[in-house]
Amino acid sequence: MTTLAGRVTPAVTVFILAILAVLPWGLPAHARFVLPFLPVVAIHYWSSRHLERLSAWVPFAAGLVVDVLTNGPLGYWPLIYLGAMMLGADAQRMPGTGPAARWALFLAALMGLVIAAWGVASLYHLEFSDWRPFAWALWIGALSYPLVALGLRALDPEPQRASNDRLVRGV
Amino acid sequence: MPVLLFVSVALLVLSRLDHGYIAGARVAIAEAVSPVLRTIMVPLEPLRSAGAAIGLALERADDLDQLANENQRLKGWEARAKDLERQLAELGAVAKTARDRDMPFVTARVMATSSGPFVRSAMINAGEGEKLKVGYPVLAGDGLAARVAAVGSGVSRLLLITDTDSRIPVFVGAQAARAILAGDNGPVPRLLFLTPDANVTAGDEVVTSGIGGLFPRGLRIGTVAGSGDRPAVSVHADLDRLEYVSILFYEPEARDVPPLEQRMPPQGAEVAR
Repeated sequence: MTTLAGRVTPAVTVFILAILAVLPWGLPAHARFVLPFLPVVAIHYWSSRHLERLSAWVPFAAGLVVDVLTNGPLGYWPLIYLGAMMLGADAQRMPGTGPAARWALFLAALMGLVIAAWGVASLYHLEFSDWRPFAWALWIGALSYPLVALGLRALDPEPQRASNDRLVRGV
Repeated sequence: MPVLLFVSVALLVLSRLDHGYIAGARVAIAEAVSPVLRTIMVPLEPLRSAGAAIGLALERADDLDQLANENQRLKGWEARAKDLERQLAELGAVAKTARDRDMPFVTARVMATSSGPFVRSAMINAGEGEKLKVGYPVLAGDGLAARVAAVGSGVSRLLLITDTDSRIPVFVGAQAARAILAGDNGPVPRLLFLTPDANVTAGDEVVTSGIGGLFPRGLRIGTVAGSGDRPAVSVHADLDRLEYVSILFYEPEARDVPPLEQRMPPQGAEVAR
């Protein structure tokens, strides 16, 4: 039985990171593009561990909030965040649940998402977008994963009951 | 999930087509989220300030010597500027020239900034309640930073001068060469449509020309920082660290033009040729 805290924590953390992504932090314009990828870490984290606790509406609504507050085209970040959720759900089926394996899975997912984000942005403008902010986002997003994941694990009320943990009958 | 993916793509297409529903939905969602944003900014303020200060300190450490020298030089200019101001006042009194009217303004706080590859914009905590209107110029520090692009009841969206959609008529340098300052979503805007005989060099001041009535004449923007067909302009406003901005209550003359039906001459009236 999942507690109330267990049910709401994933949504709350995703929305907090989405709000943090739009606050004026005083970063240069090219470095600011990293911020909307922070919710991607949380979405991937939760969907790869407790998919049943993260409704698809959460990444959709969080993406919509980021789109509105950054004045980007509506639908862009929901698409990326839903993609992160799908890749996180796929990661459940992958072998290995150690921190290094999870980081590697996240890196693979992030790379795919950044390329997709660049592709959608280029398609939207009908010209190739500048790849440097995307590369910067990939680099910083990959480095920030252990830190953010550690914070999320501390907030996870039931970290030991990840849904992809294998139960083995004892002898 | 597939439905939400489809909705996301549909929203993206509608945004690309600039559908009217999208603009309305955008303002409505921004209004709904702004109280959350205001609330969350309070406890995060020390962290935000510390982050900004560290970033600024790292960036400006190398500039300290240069700033000290510049300060010395500017102190010399200050005395000269005061003398020129006095002379100007005396000449103005002799010539009985009309003074530019003072423009009222309101100061607002930046609540959110753009972070995507699409636009350069910001959201502020002032709107119709503060009598803001679309088109008002926005200053940050000592330079033009943006204009008001959309107004809600308590929040407004600003279009920064580095955005692709920003086009501002300007004068460049002492010769007041005409040009258009255009953003391209890059870090600095560029000068377009400079006449071939315009003698523009690095360091020339760029100010609004007032042509077209969109902005008042003489607002400082920046200095020319490059050469070529489309020289870059280093802007005075620190667009990466917008905290507070001042919105000028500037009513373009074009707005005062009455509607077309009121401008039509009455039946039978003679039209001057």
